[in-house]
Amino acid sequence: MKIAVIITGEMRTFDACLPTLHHHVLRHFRPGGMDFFVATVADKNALKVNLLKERFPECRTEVSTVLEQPDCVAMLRGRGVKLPQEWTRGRFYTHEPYAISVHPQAVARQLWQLEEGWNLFTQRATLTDYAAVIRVRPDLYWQSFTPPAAAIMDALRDAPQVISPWWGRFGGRNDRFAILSLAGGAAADYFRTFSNIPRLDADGVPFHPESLVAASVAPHADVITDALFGTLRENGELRMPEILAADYATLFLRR
Amino acid sequence: MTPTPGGRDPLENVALSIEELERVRDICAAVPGWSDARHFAFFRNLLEDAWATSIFVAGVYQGRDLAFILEILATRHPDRWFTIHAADLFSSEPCADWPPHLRGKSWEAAGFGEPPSILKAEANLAPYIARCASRVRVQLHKGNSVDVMRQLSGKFDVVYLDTSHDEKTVRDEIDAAAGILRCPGVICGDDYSDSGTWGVARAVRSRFNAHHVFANWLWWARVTSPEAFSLPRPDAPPPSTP
Repeated sequence: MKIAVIITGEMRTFDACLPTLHHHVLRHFRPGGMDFFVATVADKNALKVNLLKERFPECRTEVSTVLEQPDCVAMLRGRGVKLPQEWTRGRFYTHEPYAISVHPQAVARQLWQLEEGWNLFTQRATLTDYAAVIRVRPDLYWQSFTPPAAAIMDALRDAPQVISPWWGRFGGRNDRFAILSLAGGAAADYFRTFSNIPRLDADGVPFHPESLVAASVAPHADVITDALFGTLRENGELRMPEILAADYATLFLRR
Repeated sequence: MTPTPGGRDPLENVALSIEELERVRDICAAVPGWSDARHFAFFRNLLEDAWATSIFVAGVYQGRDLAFILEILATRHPDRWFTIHAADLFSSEPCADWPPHLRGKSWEAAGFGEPPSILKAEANLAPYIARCASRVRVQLHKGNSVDVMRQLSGKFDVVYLDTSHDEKTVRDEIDAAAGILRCPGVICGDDYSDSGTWGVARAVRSRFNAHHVFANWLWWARVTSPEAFSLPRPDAPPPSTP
């Protein structure tokens, strides 16, 4: 069975990040055993997706792009989510555990784009062909990765699990990289966080990406992995991993 | 083309395939201009259903929009008979929407690149026309777009406006388009903005109660009857009183 790699987000620095993704992560998986599903924005960087086809010619690469993302805040309000009108950088928007660093529209659009990746995968692929799904953003500049033990990877086929980095959880789950079971709907719940927001909001989950993802996949086993990466911006700035004391506590308690 | 019941209007499809993006990249490399993937997607949506068999384009420059249209016809609708009329001053004269400090300058000196040229437009379009075989007829008109529209005798399913972006020019073009647009049809245009010397959005709002904006940049309105153009003209004389 194969691994589906679902990449969502703008392809801004994908050319610089792809070699690091390949070396640290993808080389651990059988070259012919991966397919790529990319949901991105039709901007000047979109064609960087072709680097995947060049680097992995034996793999299937499916792509969907949109010229613009919808007004996701309006969509959510239309679905009954009670979002405050105003957002001020550095201040709490709802009752999130950590203040969101970008506008709520950007939070919502990121989760909408995540779901676009899932929609592409489910529309173009036969899910039973795949053992697991890797979720990754195209602007992650990888520094290290230890693949989960074979037993954990094998268990992914049958038991619903969400494997995500031990750090960058901010009270929830790191939402930039994950290895997910298709079994039991774990991957579906992760990627469909946006659609789940009305239910999560009704349950009192704060409008905070890591918290929303965590709540969306709450029924599934939470497994941590050694994965270290920064975010490479177009101006060349590398935003290093944000590791809090709470993350070390998570690492200590889980080992 | 009609709106999907309960769904989005087909003209609002913002998805593009990677192959389409590659065609946009290739055309942009071959034909100078300012249009991009947004325009390609918009024209693709316009041509998606068979109702459209003719378009009038105001503003050619060196032919990028027309190349998009021809490429879409060649690849997606190779069997469709289609008529394109397009007008441009094809002149090095400054446009009415240029800021005052640029008016005395040439196109190059003003930073707008080479001036529009009918010879260059024809040369740029030749390979795209050839790909459409003889089913697509393209006629370029050298002249003021309003004058050209008033002189044309035929009707068009789509009128696309992209010349000078000052409010008066766009309003005049919309008024002239009323005479050549077939109903039902679509009137549309580029650069929906009132930034600086532009007044496209103001002009469109002054003429249509209901209009849409695609990708935050291209405006369009479905015209199902001539009354769609009947909003009061801000510049019209007041109605006489008995």
